[in-house]
Amino acid sequence: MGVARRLGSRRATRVGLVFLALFLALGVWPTSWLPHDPTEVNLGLANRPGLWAGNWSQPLGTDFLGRDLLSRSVYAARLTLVIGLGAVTIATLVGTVVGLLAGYFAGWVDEVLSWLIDVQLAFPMIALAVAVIAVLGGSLTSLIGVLAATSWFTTARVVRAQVLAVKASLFIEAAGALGAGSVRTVFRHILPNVVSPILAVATFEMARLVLTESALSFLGLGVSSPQTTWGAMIGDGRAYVYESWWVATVPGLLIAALVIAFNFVGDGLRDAMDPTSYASSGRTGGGGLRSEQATEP
Amino acid sequence: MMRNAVRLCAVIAAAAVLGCATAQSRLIIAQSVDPPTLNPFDTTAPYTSVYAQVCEPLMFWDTDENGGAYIRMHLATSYEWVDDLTIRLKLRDGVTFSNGEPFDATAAKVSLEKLFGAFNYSQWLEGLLSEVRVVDEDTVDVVLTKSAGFVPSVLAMGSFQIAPADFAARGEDAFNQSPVCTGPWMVGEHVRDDHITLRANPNYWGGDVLYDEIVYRIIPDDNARVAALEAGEVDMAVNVPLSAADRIERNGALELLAVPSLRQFATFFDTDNPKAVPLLDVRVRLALNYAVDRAALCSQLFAGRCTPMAGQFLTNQHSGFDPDLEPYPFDPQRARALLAEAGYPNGFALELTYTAGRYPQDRQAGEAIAAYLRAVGIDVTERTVDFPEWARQFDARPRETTALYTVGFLFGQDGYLALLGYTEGNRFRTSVMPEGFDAGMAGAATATNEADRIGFLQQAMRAINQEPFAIYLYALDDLYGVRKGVTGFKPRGDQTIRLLDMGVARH
Repeated sequence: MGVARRLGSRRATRVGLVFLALFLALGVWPTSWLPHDPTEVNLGLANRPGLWAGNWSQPLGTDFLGRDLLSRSVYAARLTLVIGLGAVTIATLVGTVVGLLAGYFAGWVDEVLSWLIDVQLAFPMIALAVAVIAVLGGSLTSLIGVLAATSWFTTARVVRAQVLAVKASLFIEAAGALGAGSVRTVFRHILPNVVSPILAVATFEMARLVLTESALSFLGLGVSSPQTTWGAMIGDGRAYVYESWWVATVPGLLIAALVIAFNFVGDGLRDAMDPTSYASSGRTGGGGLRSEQATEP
Repeated sequence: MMRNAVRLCAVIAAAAVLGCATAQSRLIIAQSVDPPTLNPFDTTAPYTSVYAQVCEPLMFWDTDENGGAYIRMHLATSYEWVDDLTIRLKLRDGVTFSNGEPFDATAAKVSLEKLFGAFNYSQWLEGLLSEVRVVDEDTVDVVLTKSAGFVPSVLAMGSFQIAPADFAARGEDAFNQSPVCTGPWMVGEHVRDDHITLRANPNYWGGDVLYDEIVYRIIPDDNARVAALEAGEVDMAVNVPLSAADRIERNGALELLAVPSLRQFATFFDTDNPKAVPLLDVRVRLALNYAVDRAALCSQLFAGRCTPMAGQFLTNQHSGFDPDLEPYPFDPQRARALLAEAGYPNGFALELTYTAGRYPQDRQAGEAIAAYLRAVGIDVTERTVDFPEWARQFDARPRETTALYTVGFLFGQDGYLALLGYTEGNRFRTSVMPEGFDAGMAGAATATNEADRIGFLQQAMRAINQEPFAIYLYALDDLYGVRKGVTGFKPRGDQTIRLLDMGVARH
């Protein structure tokens, strides 16, 4: 069975993929079709309920400044995804390079890099992010940078463990005997064998980073108004949660859906690319990558 | 058996009576800040809310039945200007400090000298005192180095009287923890970050003290403070957040009290900022005032618990407020036209800083103001900071604030003192203060007749109405939650608590 087919064979993964496609479409498409300008303030319409109260003009209601929540949610999707994808891309690249170096060269390189990973792991990540953003200010780039800094070591640990396993294989020994240099061995022979766990980790990390970004934005440490993310929208709605529940609930549900979708797809990817884990774990969701992460020192 | 039952009933009845008696004579107030000092010459409002029950002033700011500010005499029975430099104070007879020391002219001299030397009052009083002269046992003259008509206003803020012998014996640090004064209550115990207990002064000169104990419970979190009130753990809660107002109003056991605050909110123009060049043009500054819908901010964002500023930088609670001025109308078209006339038909770029978490709904208001300015074509970049960061930016040299910043200031009831910081050489001065403002303030500085002072201040208000130095925004209501049955509490616009009228039955 091919990877794509195995991926499509799980219902949860299919649901996750559909949701992800939907969210990506929301993020990529222009916002000109939206019913209202997502940043337009109209205090006369503040905290109006939506369809459930017969309001067809703002189907998801309005927030405390009278901004349309539907338009705002779509507008925020773009930034939420850009921040998440940007951070995960940087974290994956850095984590992969560090993992490859540590796993392949072993010795003092491994010791130094592993120590670095341990130090990062021991640090409370939200505290680090809050401190860095407090110093740099809450901008798009600083947010992406901080989130990447709280994530790269997860990939690094997984890659290092995989490299250690792959390095002991006969074909690596054979490549060395045929005169392949370190660079060729690492990038031509080892990297392709660790790509699947990297992809799976990246998907899970994406879900985690969306949540972390939401937490930071909720604390007011995210992007500056009028830009917004779903986390920032929840923060906005916090003060009105008793009177206007929808202001915080709509972005909350969207975050939940996005995180669940990424987790479904991550589970599917992990199993589809690792037939052993699929066979051993079945559809219970445990398995290969997770147990590997758990046993890694 | 029957006898035991009777005994039991008697014990329960006695306990109930005692319980009621205790409950009636103790007032528990939840406030957010634990005062590190009860030095009566510190002006911080939550500190004053505690020491003002212990220490009494010669006179203090109060509001009349129309809500207007006036100076109410207390330990002094009258004051008069003997000449341009001398204020004569007549002191109340028969007053003693809680330790038995007599309150007389000699004691008043000590306290007045402390007030004129206090750091918190130095912005108004530094270098102003020539001497405090004891005329007779009940009369002192405050002799000034130069004419300053606002001195009675400052006396009404901080002329607290302290027991001089006790102060000399115990030293400043010990005194500041438990000052001995003439008030209806005395400092009992202070458990840091938990509570402060005041006990009734049995020898109070002014009448019967109705509460044996006043307990301040320190509850910094807004929601926890309101929850304590709802649970019946406290009788009164200060700084009730807007989000809890409706809940308290709906609660049959509680009452919500609102008072227009003296805190003046504005989006200030830092015209010394090189990025704020367009703001040097008065048409632009007027345009920004027309661009913001204060009435909508008040009615929607603050649920109507707010009063738009009437085209001047004083609230109607301040002395010197000009009742003939109106709020700038919300008129985006006029704003656009003025911007075009000033040479900015397509607007310009500006940065706006506002605080988050310092004032009620400050971040939301900041976002709304930014949106209003964008709507007339100004490209606003928003910066959200916490208050200490704003203060750092403001105090940095050179100043690091952005071209626009929104904050709220509370300087008491006297309009002159509230505006003094904007006069030449002072902290808040910017390059665009109009001449009429300076002339009015200069007149108010020396006038000793109250009507003249108000006339001069109103002249200053008309000047800054025609040439605004800020977007004058609004004054918010301060909200207090009080348990029903606690009667007579009168909230004050300066955010301090004074229990004199509710806690003492006059002889």
